[in-house]
Order: sequence, then structure tokens, then C-alpha cells
Amino acid sequence: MIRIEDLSYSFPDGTWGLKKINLEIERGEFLGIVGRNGSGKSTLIRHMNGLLKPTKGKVSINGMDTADPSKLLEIRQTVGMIFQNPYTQFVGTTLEEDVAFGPENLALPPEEIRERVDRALEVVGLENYKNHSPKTLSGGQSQCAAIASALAMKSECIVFDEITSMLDSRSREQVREILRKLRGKARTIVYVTHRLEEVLHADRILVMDRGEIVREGNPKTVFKTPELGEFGLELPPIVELMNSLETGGFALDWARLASIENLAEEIWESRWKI
Amino acid sequence: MPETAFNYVYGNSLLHRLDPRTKLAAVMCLSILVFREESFTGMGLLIAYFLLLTWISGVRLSFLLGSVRPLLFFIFFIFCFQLFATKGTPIIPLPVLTPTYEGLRLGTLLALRFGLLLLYAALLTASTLPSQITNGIERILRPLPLRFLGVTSFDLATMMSLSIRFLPSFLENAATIRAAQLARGLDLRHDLRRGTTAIAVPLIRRSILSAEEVTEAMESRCYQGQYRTSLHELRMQKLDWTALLGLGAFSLFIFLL
Repeated sequence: MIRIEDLSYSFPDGTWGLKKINLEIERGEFLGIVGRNGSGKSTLIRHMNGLLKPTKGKVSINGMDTADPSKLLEIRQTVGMIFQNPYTQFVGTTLEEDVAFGPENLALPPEEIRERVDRALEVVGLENYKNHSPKTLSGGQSQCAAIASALAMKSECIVFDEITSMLDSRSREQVREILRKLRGKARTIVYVTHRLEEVLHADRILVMDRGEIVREGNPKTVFKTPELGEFGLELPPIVELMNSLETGGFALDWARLASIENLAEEIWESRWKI
Repeated sequence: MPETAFNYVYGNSLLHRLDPRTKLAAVMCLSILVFREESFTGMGLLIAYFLLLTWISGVRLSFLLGSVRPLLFFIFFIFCFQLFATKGTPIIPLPVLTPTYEGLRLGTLLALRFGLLLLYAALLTASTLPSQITNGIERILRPLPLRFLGVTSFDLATMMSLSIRFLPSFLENAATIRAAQLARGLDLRHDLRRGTTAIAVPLIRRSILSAEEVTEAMESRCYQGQYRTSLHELRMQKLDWTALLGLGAFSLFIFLL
């Protein structure tokens, strides 16, 4: 669905933000992109809906070139984007107006906008907050509103740019809950973060550093890369525990690495296998 | 931060349900009437009309009067200026400043004028959501050939609603920066000029950065500044035409008085 070929991007000051990126994202895939600040993650995803144009190379969404201005509207409908700051992406004076902003830009009839807004708010569980102003919503609720906005656009792919980094742990859990709901609805998800535990269940993880993709693979292989520390990343405690257990001779099932409870059960069961 | 002046008050009165265009037109019409009214009878009628509308809206009168408070000093100044500066029959003969009967009359009229103007505007904002007001203004401006100026009515409406949306954030940022600078030893009392720069520069910087983020979010959601529809599409109802007719009759009466 998203195809990136030999993409390089140089900032206005001449430094290279991205160097020769090649990437293909399948429909329905959950792709995690991790890397430290300044590694090029945000620059990369801003090419996915034409906010940035490639200096060299080509980015195409469902076959539409992002460098073609006539396709831009359709591209931005296809790829929704949710940003880090919950407040600056909330452009409406009330919640429902904010969710309606996208469909309004598409000049849809009011009845259809109403239907899309109501449905999107239901999915994220904010239907009772319709008339709330951004001031009375929590950071987590604002991020859920941003997700609802993407849903109201009926985007096939949603790109999340460090959406939990400005939230407290409770709001973070709220947002993750909705992510779990969204997955499996044949929607493509690109999830950018510097917290590895948020992409434990991704189909594929890219590790970025200095504008390049330095590692790529399923979570299991990526988490076993010894150089992760050099890329400024820290393994989540649960994975670290798994790794040390494995070196100690406990072979555990990575697929069950969903929660601490699952892991404990796994350890309990494997005790008999020694 | 006190937020009483010119705020929306939730309600479902006849006034709340009117189309914002009707209310905007009404406020414009009433402002003209208020400004060209020279007699106290007319002024009295305009006050009575205001009280009637307030009663219909269900908004507390004290709430609306609160909107005048910040400008009370200004109104009082105008009153005093007229009272002493107008030539005519003195009320009490004083050597330097002489209050006159003509001044008293003119001053009272002017003070009433400004007060009423603010009150009618407060009634508009109390009974209409900010988004509805911008929506109404957009629809009024839409037929104008603004394209030659490089903007569309949609652009203007978006600008207005973004200003309303981000004004509180702006004030909040200002307060945060002020606190941060005070914590770093900024002395506002003795060096106001330096203090202003110390607050203004980071505030502007932060606002521009936020504006960039807002732009990205808007562009990502297909904003183009072109034709767009609205969740609340405006439709003039029978109620609106009745209200306008009533207002027209009232204006004609005042005009002929």
C-alpha cells in the first residue's frame, strides 16, 4: 500500500535527514518504527502523506505519487496522521467540531458528516463528550479525538507519530486500548515511538538511526539485536527478562509475550520441561 | 482567569435557536439605531427592547452587565468629558470646569450608547456559539468576490475560529512563561521594558512553533481553504424571518419617532 523507493531528504539547511530509504508497507500490516530523537522517524513518516516531498527518490501510496499535487487530497484521505501534541492538532472549538473538520474539508453533505462523526466517536468511546471544549478534555481523550478524526476520514492507513509521549501512564493505556481495537480491522498501522514496549506486537519493526534503517525484522529478532543500546534504545524490562531467561536455558514462546501474566504462566509451565 | 465577559451561555431559548446570520444582522441593525438615536424616548425603547430580548434568551441580566464592567471606566470618562466640555447653561458655576445641562444630556446619551452597544454584543455572544458566529459570518461573506484579495470566505472563517480556539492557549502560555521568568529572577516591577521582552520573545517563538504544528495537523486532514461544508449547515427558518420582521417593524417605529 505504501511504497518508498530510494528516498533521500535534505533539510533546508543542507543536512540529510533521510538517506536512501527503501520500504514497502503491506495492507493490514502493523509496522513499528523506533529510534532515538533525531533519528529520522518523523521525517520519514511525513513523506507518507505528502507533508514533505522527497529530495530524491519516490513515495507512492496505492500507486499515487506524493509529488503529484493533484493526488494530494486523495493521499491525505488514504493516510491519516496523528501527531505527538494533543492540543495543537485539536482545531475545533468542541470535540465534535474537531472530528468534523476533516470531512468538512472534503465538502461532504452535513448528514454524512454527522454520521461519520457519531460513528467515529463511538469507536473511541467519547460519544458523551461531543460538546466538550479541548480545555475540559484530558490529554488521552484529546489523542483519542485525533484518532476519531482519522476514522471519520475513513483512512485506510493511520500513522501515529509518538502519540503517547506527552501523556501520563493512564492516558497512555487508554490510547493503547483503542489501538488494540483498531488492529485487525484490516487497517494499516504505522506506529512511531521510542518506547519498545509499545511495538511488542507489531508485525514488523524498523530501527532508525541517523536517517537510515539500521535494523528490520519481527519484534523477536529486533529485540535480540545486541547493538540496540548504540541506537539509543532501551529494551522493555519484560523483554530483558525473556532474553536472560533464554540465555539461561529457558526457551520461551515469544508469541505469548503479551503481558506479565502470560509470561509468568509461561515460566510456570516451562518449569516442568527442564 | 475570570471568563465572564462575552462568553457563551448554554440554553435552548428562541434566541439561542435563531440562525446566527439573523442575530448578526440584528446586532448590526440595532447598533445603527443606537448610534443615531438622539432622544431619550428612543433610547428608553432600545433599552426596553434589550430587556425583552434578554428575558427571551433566559440569560441572567447580571451576566450581561458583567461584559460592560471592563469598559466602565472608559464610559465614565466619556461622560465626564461631555459633561464639562460642552458649552451651555451651567449647572453649578465653577471657575475652571463647568458642568452644563447640555453636557449632562449629551454625556448620558453617549454613555447609554456605548453601554447598549456592548450589551447587545454580549447578548449575541451569550446566545450564539463562537463557531456559529464564524459560520454565520462566512455565509454572509461568501458572495463577496474575495478571491481577488487572495483569500476565500472559508479562509477567513477558519482564521476566526482558530483565533477563538487558540486564544486561551496563548494566554496560558503567556502565564507559564511569566512564571518561568519570575522563577529565574525576572523583576517586573523595576524593569518593565526588559520584563516585556523576556516574556514576549519566548511567547512569540512558542506560538510560531505551535502554529506550525497546527498547520501540519490541518493539512493532514485535507484542509485547502477551498469550498468546504459544515457539520452545522445553516438554514433560515420561519422563526428567523419572523424575528427579522419584528425587528424591522421596531426599527421603523424608532426611526419615525
